[in-house]
Amino acid sequence: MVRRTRGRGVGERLAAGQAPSAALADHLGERAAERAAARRVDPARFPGRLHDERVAAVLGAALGITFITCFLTGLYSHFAQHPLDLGFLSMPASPAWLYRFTQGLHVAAGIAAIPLLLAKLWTIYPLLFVMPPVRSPAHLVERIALIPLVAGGLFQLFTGLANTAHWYVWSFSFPVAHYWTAWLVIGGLIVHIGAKWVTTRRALGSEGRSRPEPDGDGLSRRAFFGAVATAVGAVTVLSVGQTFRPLRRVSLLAPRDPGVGPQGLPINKTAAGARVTTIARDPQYALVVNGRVATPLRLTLADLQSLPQHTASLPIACVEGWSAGATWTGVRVRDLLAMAGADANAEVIVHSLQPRGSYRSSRLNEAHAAHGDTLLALRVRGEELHIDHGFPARLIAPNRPGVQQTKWVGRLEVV
Amino acid sequence: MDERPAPRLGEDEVGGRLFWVAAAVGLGVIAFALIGLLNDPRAGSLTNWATFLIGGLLLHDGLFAPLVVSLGLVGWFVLPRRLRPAFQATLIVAGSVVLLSIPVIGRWGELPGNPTLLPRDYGAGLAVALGVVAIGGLIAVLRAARRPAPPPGPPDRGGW
Repeated sequence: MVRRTRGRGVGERLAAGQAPSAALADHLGERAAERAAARRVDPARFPGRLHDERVAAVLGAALGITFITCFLTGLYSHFAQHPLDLGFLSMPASPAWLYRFTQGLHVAAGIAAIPLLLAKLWTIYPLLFVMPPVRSPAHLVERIALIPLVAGGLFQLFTGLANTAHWYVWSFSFPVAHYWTAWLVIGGLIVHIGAKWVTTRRALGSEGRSRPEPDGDGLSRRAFFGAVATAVGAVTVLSVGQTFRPLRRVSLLAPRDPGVGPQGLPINKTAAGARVTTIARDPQYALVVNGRVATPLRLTLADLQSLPQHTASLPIACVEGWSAGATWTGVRVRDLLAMAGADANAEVIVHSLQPRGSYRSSRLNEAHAAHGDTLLALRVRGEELHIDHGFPARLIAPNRPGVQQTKWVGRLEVV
Repeated sequence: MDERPAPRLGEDEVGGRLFWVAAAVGLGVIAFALIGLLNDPRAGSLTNWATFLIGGLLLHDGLFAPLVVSLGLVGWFVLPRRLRPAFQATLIVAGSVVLLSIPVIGRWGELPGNPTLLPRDYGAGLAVALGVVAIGGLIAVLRAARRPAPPPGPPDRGGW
């Protein structure tokens, strides 16, 4: 350490030719160091030996990985639903399983982060009471940035988990708040990584690994990691079966079972909930294809059934983290577009018969509209669609969030 | 050989170029988030958002963490020394499972007419899950109890 002079005031430092900001910083830093030496975090107040740098670093690294995974998969989901109007960034139609994988991972990583975050906060809890509360301008910035990181992290995990169970105890918009709070957390995380980079590298490296554990009883460092890892495993196994079918019978706390529902598929919005029961069963039903087309079409259900049928095996992958695959049969959207004389690079807005609601239409970009597995499905698993799955016709397309697989389709508007 | 004592938690001084660059970027992202949220017309109640955000922090730091620390302290007084690790580990796993179960066990999200949402008996599910955790914990406790008594170690400092 360079700073050896004790008790120099800011004035003396300025007189010695230091810049004012540096003089103030040095002064504060030195004062703080003196006070810290006098009243440092008293280990006797938190005698547990796990309030340790290496424990914090290992849990922090694991937590960082889960948070960054949630952030990236969350961004992918956000832009799948709110596409940027930039051609090269538009969502691809293949691989078909991509969204199912990223959104399942998003929810699983968030659930895995619950024990990690709480264990990490417990480990560093003594630092909440560190004396003096602020040692330097940098320390002040670091501590302020912990508020969005910790508060935002708890907020994201709670609201995300509650959303998987449709538990809405708040009056803000979940998708909007969850999206912007994610940026808040990532901003706090960037500051935190900058503050802890050197410490974490030391604690994770060979020096930190070989340093003996502090004395004490209770769980050892290694056993604590084992317990937290077991907790992560337990919450994962108890929930991930909502998207990972082989575990569906052991996921006792999953809000969905991918095998439970009419025709063996779960439902998010029922026909009654969408108020389409009467209109969807209307024998006068006809699909309209219009917009930028040479010949607008009007096709009854019998007309649709007489067109060439195509079968595709595609998942319904909900933003809430559950997913279920099925074989769907119906008319290719691109065949309908060709019949109507639409351009080869057409995009389509798919309108539901649903009179109200925020998800009653969705947009097919060029890649999705042209894909051979993008169907106006009439059947699932060999049966006529159940009304809750979108009878008489629903959209099903590869690599797409479930809310965009529009049900009870009444009109394809070519744009 | 490094003769310095092991650094204490949070003892490193923060600063340096890496920190200030990260701080500038991170605070910029935080500003982007706040401006974005405040200007999003679909956001709903922002006071309610702030209540949940800050309320969650206060609930954790002011209630949840002290409760866990107190539980550790009780364990330190009540439990024989060599059984403490097994109890601690069991409570970490069981506590995580209970937290995971909260949104589903209350069934607050239930939608009439949609039995595919929350299709299970979550009370029974939680009981089974905790039963499995308890069996694992019991095995750990029995194994610890059968182990020969440890040699007199350093002074007992508790594990909370």
